[in-house]
Amino acid sequence: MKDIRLKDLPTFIRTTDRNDVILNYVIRIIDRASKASAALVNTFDDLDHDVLVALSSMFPPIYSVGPLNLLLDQTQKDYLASIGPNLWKEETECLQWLDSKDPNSVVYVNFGSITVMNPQQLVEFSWGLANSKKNFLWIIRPDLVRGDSAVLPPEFLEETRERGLMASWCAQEKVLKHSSIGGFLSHMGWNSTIESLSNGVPMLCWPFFSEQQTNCKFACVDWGVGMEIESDANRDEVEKLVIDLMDGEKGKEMKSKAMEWKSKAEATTGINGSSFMNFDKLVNDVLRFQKP
Amino acid sequence: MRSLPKTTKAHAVCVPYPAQGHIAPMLKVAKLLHHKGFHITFVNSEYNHRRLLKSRGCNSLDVLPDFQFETIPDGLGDQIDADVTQDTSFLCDSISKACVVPFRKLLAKLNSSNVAPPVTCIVADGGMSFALDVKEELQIPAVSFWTSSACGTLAYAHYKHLVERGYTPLKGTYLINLLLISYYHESFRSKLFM
Repeated sequence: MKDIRLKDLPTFIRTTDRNDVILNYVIRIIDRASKASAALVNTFDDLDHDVLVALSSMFPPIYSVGPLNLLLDQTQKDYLASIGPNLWKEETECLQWLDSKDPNSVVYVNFGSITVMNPQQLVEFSWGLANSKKNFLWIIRPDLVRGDSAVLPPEFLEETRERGLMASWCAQEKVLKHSSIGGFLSHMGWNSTIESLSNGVPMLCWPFFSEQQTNCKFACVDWGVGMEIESDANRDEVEKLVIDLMDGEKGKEMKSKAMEWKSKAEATTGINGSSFMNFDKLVNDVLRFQKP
Repeated sequence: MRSLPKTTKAHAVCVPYPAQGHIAPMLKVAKLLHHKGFHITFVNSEYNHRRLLKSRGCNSLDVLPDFQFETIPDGLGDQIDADVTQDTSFLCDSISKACVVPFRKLLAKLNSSNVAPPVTCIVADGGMSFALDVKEELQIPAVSFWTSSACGTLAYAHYKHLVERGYTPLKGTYLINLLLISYYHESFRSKLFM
């Protein structure tokens, strides 16, 4: 990995304890990776070629089969649609609300399933969004704020009534596909990152933990689809970056780059694309393989 | 003797790490395999299975006879049901110790079933490496699905070298350097300075 800094590495090295549970867990599962018949990753060759080459020397045969959201879209019949993965109830009215907004006009804000923030960070994000004057859909999990339930300032709610919608969880893939979404303020979990990139949506990156810092570095530096928000950003910085994302030159460049990745992602998951073929190979050469 | 003949259909057992961001992509892989004609058994933790039923409705998982859900405990003992993500550190610790025995029992149950075909392959999250232990015993392929990014997985693969070279665990100088270049979220601060 070129130009990687210590701060870009997954955060579990940020410990002073050699016996740290997660550090040792990661080392152990990596040690055991070679036991597998094959390794599967949710990415595609155009996006991660060099990384996949590096991984292939350390792992069993590696199959890049992503973006899985697109691969599934292209091959899946509707019969399994009712089986969904979400552990929180999806609020479907988000989609109707998005229908009422202009194309590329809404900032989608979702910090994923694990991120927690303190009450002050919540307030800074809320005023940053409000002051940007942009439309926004903000997913606020019941446990987003550490040690407390999320309380938004009443003045903020009043100010943004016409242009903001808050919900506790949503069907993210449908949201990111929606034409009204112009940008994503994200914690940079891998599912969010690849779903955003493969739908042509540029990102503001607020990584929280694990490999989200690494994803942020790649999104901003290597893939050209992200801008990082400092983790202690105040409302003015949030406002400025949201405006840059939605209206600025940098935002336009990132949008254009994201659209290129979208097109490549569609090609790789289409018939004869590399991820499409890799999935077939995984099934025929590995999973259906029977010892004679 | 089994009373009914088993079908020869391929049967994949999919084992996600028990967190939202791992369950979602594993479910996609499971659906893609079902589309290819596999019988699917999707194995959630008991805790997350209850959350899924609560979020999706109690009949939502009972769609097809060849797409089934099963559970194993996560080893964290009795937990109050809440719509919250479990602590990563506790989970990593308990998964490593508590899951393999119930997983073997589940496979034995599936393989003695008169309804489902015998298990022919395992697809386990990279973090659920205990599931690879049965590969040799059952003589079936077992693949790891790394649901983190490829770049993140590559970085994880270098952790051992970072320890060997003394970059982590952090000592005085590295700690100060890191703090100079990177603000810590509160949880990491408390972890570092406890």
